[in-house]
Amino acid sequence: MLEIVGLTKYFGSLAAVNGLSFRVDAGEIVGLLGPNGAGKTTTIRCIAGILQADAGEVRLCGKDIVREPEAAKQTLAYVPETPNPYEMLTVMEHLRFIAAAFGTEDELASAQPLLDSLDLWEKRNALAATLSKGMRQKLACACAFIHRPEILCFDEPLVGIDPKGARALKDRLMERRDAGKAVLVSTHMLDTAERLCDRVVIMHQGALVVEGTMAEIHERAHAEADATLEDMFLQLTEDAQ
Amino acid sequence: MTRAILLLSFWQIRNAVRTSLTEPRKLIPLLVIGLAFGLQLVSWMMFRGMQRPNAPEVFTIGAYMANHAAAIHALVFTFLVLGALTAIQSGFGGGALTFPLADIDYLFPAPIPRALVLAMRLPAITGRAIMMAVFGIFVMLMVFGRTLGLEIASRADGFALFAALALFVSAYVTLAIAIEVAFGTGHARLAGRTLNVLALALLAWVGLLVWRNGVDGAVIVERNWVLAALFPPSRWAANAVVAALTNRPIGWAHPGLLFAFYAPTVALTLWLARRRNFYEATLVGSERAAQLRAARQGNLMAAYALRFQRSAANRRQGRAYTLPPVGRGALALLWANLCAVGKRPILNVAAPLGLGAAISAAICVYMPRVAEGLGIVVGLDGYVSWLIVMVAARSAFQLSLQRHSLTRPLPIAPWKTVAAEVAPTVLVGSLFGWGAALPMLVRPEAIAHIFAAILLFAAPAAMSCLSLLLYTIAIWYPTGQDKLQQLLSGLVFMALMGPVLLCLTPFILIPLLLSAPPLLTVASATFGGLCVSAGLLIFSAYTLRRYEPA
Repeated sequence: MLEIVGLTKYFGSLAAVNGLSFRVDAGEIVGLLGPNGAGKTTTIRCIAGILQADAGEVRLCGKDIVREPEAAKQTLAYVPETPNPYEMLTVMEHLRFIAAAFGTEDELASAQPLLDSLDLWEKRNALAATLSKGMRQKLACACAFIHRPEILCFDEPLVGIDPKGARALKDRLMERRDAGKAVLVSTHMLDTAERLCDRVVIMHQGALVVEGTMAEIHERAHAEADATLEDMFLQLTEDAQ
Repeated sequence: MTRAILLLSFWQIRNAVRTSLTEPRKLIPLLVIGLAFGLQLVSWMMFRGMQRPNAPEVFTIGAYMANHAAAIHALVFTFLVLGALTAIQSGFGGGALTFPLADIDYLFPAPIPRALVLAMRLPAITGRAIMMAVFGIFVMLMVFGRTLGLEIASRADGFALFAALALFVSAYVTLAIAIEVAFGTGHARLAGRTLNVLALALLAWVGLLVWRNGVDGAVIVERNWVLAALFPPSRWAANAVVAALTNRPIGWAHPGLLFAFYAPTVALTLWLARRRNFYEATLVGSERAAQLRAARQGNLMAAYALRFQRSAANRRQGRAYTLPPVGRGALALLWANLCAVGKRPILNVAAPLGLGAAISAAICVYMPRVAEGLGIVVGLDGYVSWLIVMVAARSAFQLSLQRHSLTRPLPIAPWKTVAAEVAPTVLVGSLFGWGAALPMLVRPEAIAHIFAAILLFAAPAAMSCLSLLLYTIAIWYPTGQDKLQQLLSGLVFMALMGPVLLCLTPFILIPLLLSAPPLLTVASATFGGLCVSAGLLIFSAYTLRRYEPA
């Protein structure tokens, strides 16, 4: 579903992402992990078509994001690291706008259960300017779910969300995975990644360090039997350094 | 897709209007500003039809312009060429095309063609530029034109002038956007810098011509075939402006030509947007614009500081420095605040000091009657201090109150905290006067020494009174983002400033009535200023003790 081949992105002389390749197949959640400055957000922004790669390809459901941007984006939902909603739009107007932009206005019937699950239904007529940071994050997630995308890219989705909201969001992600969608989640919460993700991709300084299921990562890190993802992550990124 | 963006724009406008009309905090400042503007407009409409008194000997700007039409045309043309160069430079510099951050998060990843996104945002971007560049000038001309002897011949001419200027601005803003879409950022900095140099060279050339040959010397610039060939829109817009300034009919020929330039520019921009992913090029500018907007809403000085920091950081990376702490308690706090003043661009300190000294020295050397000239310097010092209080001090105090959660737990008496927070502002506000006092001290005349004493002692004492009053009001109205609070704090300051200054008058009047020596009067005024400051300091400390941050 989501295929990244040799993705390279420079900012000046700095290679923020350097020859990165991985894929996210239908029906799996992949965690994109890495220390600060590893290139996770740059990768996700390239997938969303906000940044343009200097080399390599990003294909969404087989469609190249550079050659067929509209068709590729039609399949994608993107949640940024820091939510910046339209201050002068209500929660419900955000959903209506996204549904109109993706041409999926019939999906608005599912708005109430979606907003209910994220504790946003009571706030549906509130302007985004009046929402707290956590609420804004939930709104961004709701916008990502409303148009039933094939691929979901979430950049640090759980930051600032309360435990109940985080649980609801994780349930939604797993539900989408079970429905055959591809989910890419960038996160620093390694325990969450360990429980949520089917596979993880670990990046360091713009390059791929390791990719695979928990068992595969365990094997490649030559870790002890009771080693957690956190232990393996620290070991692998230190080795890469 | 188009419907989605139209809906987005409609909802944003509708909700903004609704919020402005239903929230008193937004409505009241709007009403006050609207009332002030409306009264001015009504007075203009009432007196518009009245005959002008027959006084041909009276000098008017309109008559002067009619006599020097060619030179004025050349100067307007030069000004518009400079405007065009600035716009094009912004395209190379990456600041021409900015989007709200929400567009980056929601609109850019949506399956909407890039050209459509740009087409829907273009009217807002050019509209904003027109409001900034043209509307103010146009309204000033409509309202105050009669007083200056500049009257637009008819309503149709008024519209033609506005159309010409709006099309000129739109065309060059769109051209700058086309450049940014085509080249992106970071690839064309050299071109941007070259344009800056060209603009400066043009300015210097015009300055030299006017200096040598008077205003009429500027005509040579317009005869330059390179400028004429490169900037025909500037000539067409200048034709319309000068026709308006010299009370001649404007007609629609020039707006028509400008439209003929504007329409293909828009088409080219949209064609480029289809082919190139311009989203990335707009990210840095959009984020910077959002930061500046937030800073400006909260605090004017913070916005300026941000702009300075960015440009300074670009110029000299890695030259940050630290100053060692000095003293304990309130002295340490005062030192920290003074260091903060010093760490702003050094120009903040050097400019008022140097400017004051330069103006005062020039007056001491060139003015035949020194007393009058030095009186002007003292008046200028009063104006500069007033400007600093009105522009910088309030926002500086609101910032210091934002730090109150840090300073409150410190074992420092509230009056000392207030003194430490206000002192840097008084210091900065006094620099111009202190600089101006230096050349006066070396003059032999006694009057120069009296003026120097006023600038060195009495003026800072008065400045501390106003600053302490403003600090107290900042405690009452601490939120910079709240327009109503800003309006109220301004009104309260204006209302209380009179009584505070009135408290100083006995200290000046009594020595004058007793025919005391002038220096003694200055000393008395300084003493009065210090007494009133002490009273205000106690009151301010009392207010600060009761202050609870929101």
